[in-house]
Amino acid sequence: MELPELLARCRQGDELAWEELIRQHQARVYGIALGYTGNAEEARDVAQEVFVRVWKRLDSCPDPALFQPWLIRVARNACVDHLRRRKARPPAQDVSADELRHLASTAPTPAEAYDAESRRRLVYRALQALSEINREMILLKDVQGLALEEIASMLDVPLGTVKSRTNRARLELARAVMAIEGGSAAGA
Amino acid sequence: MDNRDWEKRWDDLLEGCSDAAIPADAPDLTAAVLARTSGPACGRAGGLLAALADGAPDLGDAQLLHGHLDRCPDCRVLAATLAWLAPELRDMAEVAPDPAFTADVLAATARLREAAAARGRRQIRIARRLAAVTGPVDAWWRRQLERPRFALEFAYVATMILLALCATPVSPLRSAPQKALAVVEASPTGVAAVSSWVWRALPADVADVGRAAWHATGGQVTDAVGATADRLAARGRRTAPLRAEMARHLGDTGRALVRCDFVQAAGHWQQTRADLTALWRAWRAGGQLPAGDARARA
Repeated sequence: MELPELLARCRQGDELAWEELIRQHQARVYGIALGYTGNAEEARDVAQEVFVRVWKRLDSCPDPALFQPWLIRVARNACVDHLRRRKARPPAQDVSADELRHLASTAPTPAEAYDAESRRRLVYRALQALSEINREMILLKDVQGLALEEIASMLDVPLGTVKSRTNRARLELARAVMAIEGGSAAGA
Repeated sequence: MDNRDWEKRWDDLLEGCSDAAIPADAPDLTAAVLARTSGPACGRAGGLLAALADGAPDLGDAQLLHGHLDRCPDCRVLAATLAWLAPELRDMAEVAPDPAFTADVLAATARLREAAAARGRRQIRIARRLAAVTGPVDAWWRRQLERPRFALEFAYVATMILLALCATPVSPLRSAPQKALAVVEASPTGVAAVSSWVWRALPADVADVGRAAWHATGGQVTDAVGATADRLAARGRRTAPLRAEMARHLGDTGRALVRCDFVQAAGHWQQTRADLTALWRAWRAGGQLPAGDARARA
């Protein structure tokens, strides 16, 4: 079913349509939450909270064409709220292999699946090493693929700032990956 | 020396500087020179590498970057890492949660739906209870409206309440009538003062438009407003004795009520009513008191 009809049915209180909407978008929302929190358990809670917020605001949901950016914005705000609340608590653990095991993998063989898991774990660890602002830039631009203008509007910063911060964040992430890999190699 | 000599010398020089003329063991001085001049170019190369994900650099930058990567192993590793990261990051956009996730979200929203429904039912119950109370009140009110003497009784009760509020020495709003009279008396002047202030506070453009309209009417509006204000002020002055008398009788009524001397209160109330009627007639007549009235003679 197309998104406009799905949204219309959700607004009318159709539980099946709501379930379908969750199924269609849960992977993206969970991906965003995992990127921000770096912790599968917290990401699950935050993703759930995002859908509860969406359910409460279905009537204020914009045009279906703008649903995806709106959803990302809601997810981002929920993640930021969660991180603020978490500030007082110890930092999250890296995503462990066990936590990643349940995450969907499109790898056809167990060996490839293991490789994919390892790579993803490495990237999550590197992401957690970034500053908050740089991590957000990577998540919004390179992971979610938002346009620079959308990010500028979401974060309320000038376009040029988004561009320069994104480049800086990419370099920082690449260096973090190299450092982790170097550390692993040295450890081995 | 003319230009031709210079060109010949330059050609000779270049001829001697062909690749073959460079010794095979010549040291690469680039790093040493960069260290003593602008510093390493890795920062600029890193910026270009990071921006590659957003689009290819222009031809000149691409050539320079290529040349730098040929000689800088650190930047080659950085470029390889960035190239490796781009698809990995794209793959992270969607990560399927565990299979129970959808069911959990549905359970959470079902609880919210149930809570909303319960809230709605509670509101309906409250509305019904209110209707149970307001229904008889409404029916009573409708019955009262149909009674012939209701308007009179209502006016009497309202007047008593008004007196209790404003006209006794212990009334909470006892100064209100005097203030209201003061406002009525001062209103023409007050309106003029406020109009003048508004006129000055208007933006220049609006004021210009207003001024133009003012001139177009040939001052008729000014005259009309001024005349009306003067007439109102004159009426206010002429009816002042009536208002003072009515206020006195109203005060007497209140004081009699406080003493529980209802007979005297009724007498003063009759006088107040007569004063009110006289004031209204005088106001309608342009502030002229009746010919036989002692206050007119005074």
